[in-house]
Amino acid sequence: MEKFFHFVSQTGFSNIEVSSLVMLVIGLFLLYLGIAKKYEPLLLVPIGFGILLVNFPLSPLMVQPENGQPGGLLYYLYMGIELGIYPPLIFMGVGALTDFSPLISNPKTLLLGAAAQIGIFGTFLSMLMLGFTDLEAASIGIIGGADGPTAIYLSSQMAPHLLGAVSVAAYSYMALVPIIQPPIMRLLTTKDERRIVMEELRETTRRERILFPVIGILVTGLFLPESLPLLGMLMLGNLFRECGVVDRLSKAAQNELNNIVVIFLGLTVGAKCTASHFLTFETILILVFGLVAFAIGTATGVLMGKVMCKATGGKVNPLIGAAGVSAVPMSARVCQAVGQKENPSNFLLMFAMGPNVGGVIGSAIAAGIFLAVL
Amino acid sequence: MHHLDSGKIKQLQIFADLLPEEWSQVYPLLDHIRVIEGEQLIREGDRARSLFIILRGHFMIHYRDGKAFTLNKKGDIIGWSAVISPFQYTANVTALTDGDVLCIPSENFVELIQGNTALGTKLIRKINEFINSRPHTGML
Repeated sequence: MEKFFHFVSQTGFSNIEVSSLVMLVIGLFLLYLGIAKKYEPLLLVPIGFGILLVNFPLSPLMVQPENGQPGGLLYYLYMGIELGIYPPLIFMGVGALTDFSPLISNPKTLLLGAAAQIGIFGTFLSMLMLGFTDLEAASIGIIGGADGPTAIYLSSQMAPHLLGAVSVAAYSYMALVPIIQPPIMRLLTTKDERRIVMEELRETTRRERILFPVIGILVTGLFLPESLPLLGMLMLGNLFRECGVVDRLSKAAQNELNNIVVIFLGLTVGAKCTASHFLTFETILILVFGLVAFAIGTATGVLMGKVMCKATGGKVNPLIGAAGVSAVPMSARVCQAVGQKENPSNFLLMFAMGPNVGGVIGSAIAAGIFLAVL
Repeated sequence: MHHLDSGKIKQLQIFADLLPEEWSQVYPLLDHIRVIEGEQLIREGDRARSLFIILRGHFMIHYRDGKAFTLNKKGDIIGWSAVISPFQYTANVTALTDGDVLCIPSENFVELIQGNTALGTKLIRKINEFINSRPHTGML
């Protein structure tokens, strides 16, 4: 009988707390969003499952090594975030998957990517005024870049205690891009602007596509070395793709490696969302201001698009500015969908990829600036 | 898909301008579907998940208002709502004879365009040619 009671005392039923139950519900909700609603399923499914795994009472998965006993599985996998390993590897995959041609053939669209980063710095200042430290404020502001790996990287380096909330906020808003962005885009543009058909992009040469990552890394390395872990790997992945002599490496970066890292990253981000870290007033502020940062980024991107539209005599559809927040590839698809509603034969997708790539570069530069200055 | 001749499919109007390396990205995305006489290939109002390319057979496109026409040309495309917002079919398509079609899932098509914009531009230009050649038929 004593053994039976001992067994019962070791079960989750005897040790469950309300806060753990709330986290389990949050984990299940993220699974629902990923599976039923198909919102960023590649990330929300492992994140949601990771939340479940660590919030069961007595869960051994995040236990630290002690007295010669090894730690939990997720504790060791989490080292990949703590040591800043996973986000750069994801960036390599993004570089290998992404065609930079729209940015190369129309470099002006980099300005749209830059404009959309204003949300990051605006939110950074707001968070400082609310009493967060500069490191915490930077970690929250970066959510506005709508770039999950960058948000995780910066947060892990600057404010690891906020990592769970920052990454859940970043990925949630990336998943909600099709809901958050269109009203802002429609509010700031006229019907005529949304109907603008852009001129076909010129074709880029193989030499240009190879030189872009090489020159990009030289410039980054010399001007902002703090951005090298992210931008360096982004450019390396893109060079794999474009140089044409390392197809196997390119495919590995796009598929096998990327998928493995996504699993580790998602699980361990979820694992960082324990009740004690996540169920706080700070988390609510992070979710609210993350959304504000993202909305500002979308708005400033569109407004810069309007400026470029005027400056070019109506040749730029301002909607593509919204893709400057990065959120690859979803925000470019949102531009396409909003534009096509006004003009069904209009294809903005290719044009929106320019600011989209610009946004990835822009948010990595913003992270590098924070790391260098703070 | 393996039993279809890649070289012959490459000659279809929509793929004719693609470079060999571009074709190698498109070909694996194509599915071959056999249809039988009377089969409904597309239902009006359904979510447009796929774009179809005719290889063989006669197909009737019929609208709710009673308008209808048939397509039977090899390489003609059906279901371009798969690449046009709001991604919903706007007509019914029924096979009048047994036939064969190629199918490209909408999601793969969008990924392809984003992954290689030069290739995307070529395909969209071709689809626009088809759309412009059928100005009175709605979006399908």
